[in-house]
Amino acid sequence: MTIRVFCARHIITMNPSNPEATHVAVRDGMILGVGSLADVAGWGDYELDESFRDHVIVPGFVEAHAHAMEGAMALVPYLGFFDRPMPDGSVAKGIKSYAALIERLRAIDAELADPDEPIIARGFDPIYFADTEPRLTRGHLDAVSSTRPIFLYHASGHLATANTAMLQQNGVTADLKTAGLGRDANGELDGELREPPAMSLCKSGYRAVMRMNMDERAIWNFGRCARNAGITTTADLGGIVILAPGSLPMWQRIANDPDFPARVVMYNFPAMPGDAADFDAVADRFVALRDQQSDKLRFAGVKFILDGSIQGWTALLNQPGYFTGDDHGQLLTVPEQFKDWLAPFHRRGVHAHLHCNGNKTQDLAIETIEALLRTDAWLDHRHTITHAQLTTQAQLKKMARLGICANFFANHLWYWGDQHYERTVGPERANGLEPCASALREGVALSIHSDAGVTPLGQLHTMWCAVNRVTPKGRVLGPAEKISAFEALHAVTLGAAYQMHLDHEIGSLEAGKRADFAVLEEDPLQVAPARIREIGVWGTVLGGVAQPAATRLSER
Amino acid sequence: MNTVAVPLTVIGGYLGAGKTTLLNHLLRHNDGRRLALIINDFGAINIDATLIERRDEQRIDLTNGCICCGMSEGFDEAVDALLAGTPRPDHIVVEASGVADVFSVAQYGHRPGLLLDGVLVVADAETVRARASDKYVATTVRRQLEAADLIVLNKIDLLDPTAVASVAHWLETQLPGVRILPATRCEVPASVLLGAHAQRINPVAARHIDAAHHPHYVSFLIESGQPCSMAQATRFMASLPDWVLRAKGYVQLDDGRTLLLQQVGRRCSLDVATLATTDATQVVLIGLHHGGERTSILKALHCLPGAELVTPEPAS
Repeated sequence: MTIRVFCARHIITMNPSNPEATHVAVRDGMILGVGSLADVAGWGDYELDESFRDHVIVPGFVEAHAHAMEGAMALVPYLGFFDRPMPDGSVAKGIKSYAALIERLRAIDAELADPDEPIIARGFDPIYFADTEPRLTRGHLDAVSSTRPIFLYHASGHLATANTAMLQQNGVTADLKTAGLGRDANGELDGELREPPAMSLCKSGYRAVMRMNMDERAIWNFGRCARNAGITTTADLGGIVILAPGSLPMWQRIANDPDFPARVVMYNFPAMPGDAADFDAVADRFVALRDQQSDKLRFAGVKFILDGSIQGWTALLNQPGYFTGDDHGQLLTVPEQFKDWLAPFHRRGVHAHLHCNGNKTQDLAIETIEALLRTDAWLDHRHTITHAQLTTQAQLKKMARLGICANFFANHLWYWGDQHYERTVGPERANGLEPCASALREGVALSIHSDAGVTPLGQLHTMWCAVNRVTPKGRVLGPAEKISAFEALHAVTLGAAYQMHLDHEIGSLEAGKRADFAVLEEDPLQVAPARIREIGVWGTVLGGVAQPAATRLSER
Repeated sequence: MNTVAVPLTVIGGYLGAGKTTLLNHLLRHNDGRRLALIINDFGAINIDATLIERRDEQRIDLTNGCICCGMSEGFDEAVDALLAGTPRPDHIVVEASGVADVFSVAQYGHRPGLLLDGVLVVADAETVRARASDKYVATTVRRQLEAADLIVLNKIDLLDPTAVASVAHWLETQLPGVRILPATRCEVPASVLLGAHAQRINPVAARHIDAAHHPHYVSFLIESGQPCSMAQATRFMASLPDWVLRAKGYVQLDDGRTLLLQQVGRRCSLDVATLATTDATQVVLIGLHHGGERTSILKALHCLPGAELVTPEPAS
């Protein structure tokens, strides 16, 4: 077996016993040793790889809450407010006004040869235009084309806007009584489609969007996006392997392909969110699924969704509730049954990641785990509350005692921080969003995430959010909850690996672990905190094999 | 493609209220309808094995309908597949999950080819009030009740009559005008739950349910050979008495058009019918028997020229 020794300007190992190094020796995808060249030379004959001698190596980033849907964002035009990195290394520019939106759509229209081919686009989010533009209606999109059907699927997944041609193509007329059909003052359809019953009336648009999430190209793109961001292991936190029989062979075919540039850790849904099932039988299937694992595709645990989102006003909040707007709290579990839903997994050693955006559902998650632990001891369960955005100090104390991990949605501080401050929860609670510093102080195992494709994959950006806590309007939300760059780096490497029970394999650079590195242009612990998100990513090393980011590939 | 719209009924209600009991009851007493049930979990359904023609993980075909489970393909596609199948079901019944927003689910009933029949919400007479103020589920439970066209107040056998009256009164205060069907084991006639059979507007035999404290249901047929004006038809619908749980039928207009009249609980509609199966005015009323129904119908009856009340068939 060949030994390859990588050298770098600087290596941050995240191994507290041996925090810094210049060389790492790798054999057969595993790390033999980390240190100076002299420290690692003794393993035997080696090839010295100096490709990264001007770079900084850190452990491959680990993302404990993302979705393969991230890869679907690139299958159709992206029309979101913020710039977004694409799997090919390009950046789709954010759209800041309706004029720019229409201009972009006109350009797409002009490029399409087939006059009947619909335009289906994603990423639009009306919350960023609430102060500057009227509600988007079919009139805006008719200005692009009166003949080509257009379907704009919003970032929230709850809304879409169609033009007149799209409505006509699908026979959607004003006499339909579906409640989610937006109307003008005269009762005519205005092209806004709220929630799936209304959106699905425009079959030619809606079904295309739904198919994208099961598209093989989306999964490939997911891997490429991860690699471009320096991520070597990413969760797919909401797999449908149990629900959709065709999903497993597709994932195995793609993730196990040697060219697929990331490891994927799946957390599957045991049933459709909110639905009951025979969870004992389902949990047996989760255990059996472990026989199908590989080093590229793991089935680590189960995912439950307990509520909606804060910016959609569908998360369940404790008193005093939402700051402005109506509470549309959407409970997606049956509280009296939730212990019985979770117990079959807990008892089989299948840990859970529980989506709680609101602190009321988070109470339920904590109470449920506490009740389970009274009867079924599992000291090292690592059940994780994910998003957990409004976690209170009292909740952190309980979580620490009970061994519950927190995976905060740090990207919200940037993407919706101003909206939370002004609209959803108000200044005080906005300052307490994603309380990373408090979690560390209380001893809660911490990670931070992007929830890609809700926001883009990119652990440097996510670190930057937790370290700086700034918003697009220049606010700093709760400076007391800032964490250091080192703590943030820990959260997106070992911290995330710990929450997936994989910290013995990945998350730090030390002997016996997988040779998974993120290769960076600059040292994230040395640059000014405000510049962390600007650090260039060369790519990754995955199991000892270099995986250049797409921008590097095109340079070759 | 000008076929009769298939009615879709949504059954909602919080955990343990009796949704599955209601589905099992409907499977046994379907009044000859081809029912298509869309449910959450096969395990809870009692199906007579002799009725099963074929089954796989997602679907069971019965001699008199089918049961579908697992909505991972999308609810819209599941419903469209039922409409495209042969034979088409006479009625689609959707079981919403215990925490579902039934109002939202019901919106699928407005898809082309479907007709939203109604939203039935099953409430557990013993626990519904406590649930409606519970920390976690109050909003969910209240939203379900608010979306109900008819509330099946189930498990009344577990309460004394005063307590039943008290919870019914509470529901009426919370939801003015709501129609409540007190029941044990969800035993309510299919004609009340699903309406008069779509294919035949006839006096529907009201079922007599034993046990002294259970309600009786009555049905009446109103017929007229004369057309009426739109104003008269509107006035007729508005004048239907409070005890009417369901009304369904056709009203002939003097301009040659036919209206489809539908009332389910608090919700009523009067739409131009594209495919009428009759050229006379015929409306079936179904309601809770309390005495004095005939007298209270007279006001509505007088709105329609030439209208007569046909004697109900005796309860069976």
